[in-house]
Amino acid sequence: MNEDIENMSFEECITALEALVKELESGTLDLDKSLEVYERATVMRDRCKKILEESERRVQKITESSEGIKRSDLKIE
Amino acid sequence: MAERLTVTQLNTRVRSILSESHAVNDVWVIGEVSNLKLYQSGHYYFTLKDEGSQISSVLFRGSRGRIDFEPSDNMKVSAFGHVDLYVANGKYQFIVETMTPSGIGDLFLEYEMLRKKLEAEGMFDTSRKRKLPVYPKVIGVVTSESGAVIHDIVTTSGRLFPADILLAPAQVQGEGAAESIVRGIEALNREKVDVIIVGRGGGSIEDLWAFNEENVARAISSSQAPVISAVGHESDFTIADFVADVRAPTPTGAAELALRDKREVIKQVDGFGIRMGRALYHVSATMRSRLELAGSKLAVGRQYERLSMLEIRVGQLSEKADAALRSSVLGMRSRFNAVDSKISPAAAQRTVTSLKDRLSFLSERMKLAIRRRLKDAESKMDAIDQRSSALNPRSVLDRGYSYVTDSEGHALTSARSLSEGSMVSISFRDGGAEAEIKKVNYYERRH
Repeated sequence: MNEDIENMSFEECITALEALVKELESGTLDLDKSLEVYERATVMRDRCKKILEESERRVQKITESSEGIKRSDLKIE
Repeated sequence: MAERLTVTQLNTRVRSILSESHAVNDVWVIGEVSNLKLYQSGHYYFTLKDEGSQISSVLFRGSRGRIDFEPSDNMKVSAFGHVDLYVANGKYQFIVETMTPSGIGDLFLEYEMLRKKLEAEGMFDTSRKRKLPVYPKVIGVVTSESGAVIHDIVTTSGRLFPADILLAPAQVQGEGAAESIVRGIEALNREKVDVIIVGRGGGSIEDLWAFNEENVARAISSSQAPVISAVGHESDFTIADFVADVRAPTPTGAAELALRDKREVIKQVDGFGIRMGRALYHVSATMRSRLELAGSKLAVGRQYERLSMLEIRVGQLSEKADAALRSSVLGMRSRFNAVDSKISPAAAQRTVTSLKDRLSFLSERMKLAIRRRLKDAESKMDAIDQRSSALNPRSVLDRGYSYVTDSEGHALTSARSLSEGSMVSISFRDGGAEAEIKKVNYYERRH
């Protein structure tokens, strides 16, 4: 049910998370729905934290030639 | 009748006309220095001249700090200043506020002209400035591959929101630099980066010149991705700085503008975690009190079973809320620890110990509160149980009776609470039925 979250970008994920938290806080959800929303929000929170704490960023440079643009890793001392 | 003035009044009047005229104030004048004299007072007096004309000029001592060369006779200069009239002798002169040797003065003129032209086109308008993305995936950088700029950006961004960095290596000074920067901006746009930093370290006006070229300004303004300029230092504004969506004083500052501090974002996500836990706790508390109310009103048949099931769900919910609260408390504790480690070890130890005490006190209290609520609910359920077995509705049903409830589950005990067309539920020993009332008959009232 929450598989879609794995493919969300950070921005999509944190935006959706905020909306769910507000929905929970509104107190308009019934018990089952509250639990469902809570579960989903938990998965989103974990996904956000994972992106923040574990994602490897790439540092690259581009080189232009007649064949187009190429990317290669950039080493910074 | 024509006005009659004293000489002083006339000169004062001419002086004020000169001082109010835009035509002779804040202007750059190009000329050659002659008759240069440095007075004891520290002021320079000289004549500025060209092929056709000349003007007495003065550079006051206070303005000498603004020039970084020694003027000399026959030197070509660009001088910035205004025209003023000396009332005492009726002679006017050019008051120089700053000046540069001429080659550079020409650059200043060029800069001023381009700045005015682009400003008139509206290229510096605030309304044109694009918003930077909050969570960019890729940051493009146009700068020299070997300079400090890319180094500073890569180093700084380590503690910022994780985004890829894509460098378009560019020549940032000398012949062809402007074209190289333009190509970089265009290439990064084709690569669909989310934001572009264009920069180089500080330097002389000649070093920074590429960032004052019109084609660079136009490339920045037509870039799809918003552009942050990071050229030179605090005091040097280039045309690129004016056109860019945001100007950063340094490359490090540019990285910080492009990417939020990672710790801030983590804090925000944790904040949502805490709010979720609290909201769930609140939902469970509300549910519980509603259930208790329902339980005291009603205790028969499937409602009783439903109640028990809900009770179990609420119990689970409470545990979850408890766990959520506790994990956020733990999160806070680890943040406290991190902060404390920066303070003196002894003081930190004391603070941490007392915080730990308080935290375990709090989580103990939380557990107690939840246990107490569960216990309350249990004893209430017991009471309901006893009452219902006293009534023993099932044994009544076994004897062929059934009972009728309205759509909200309230037992109906009078025909007067019915009307034609109303929907009711009938409960039998082994099941139920939904029914619609066709007609209502009343008995004669018996006493």
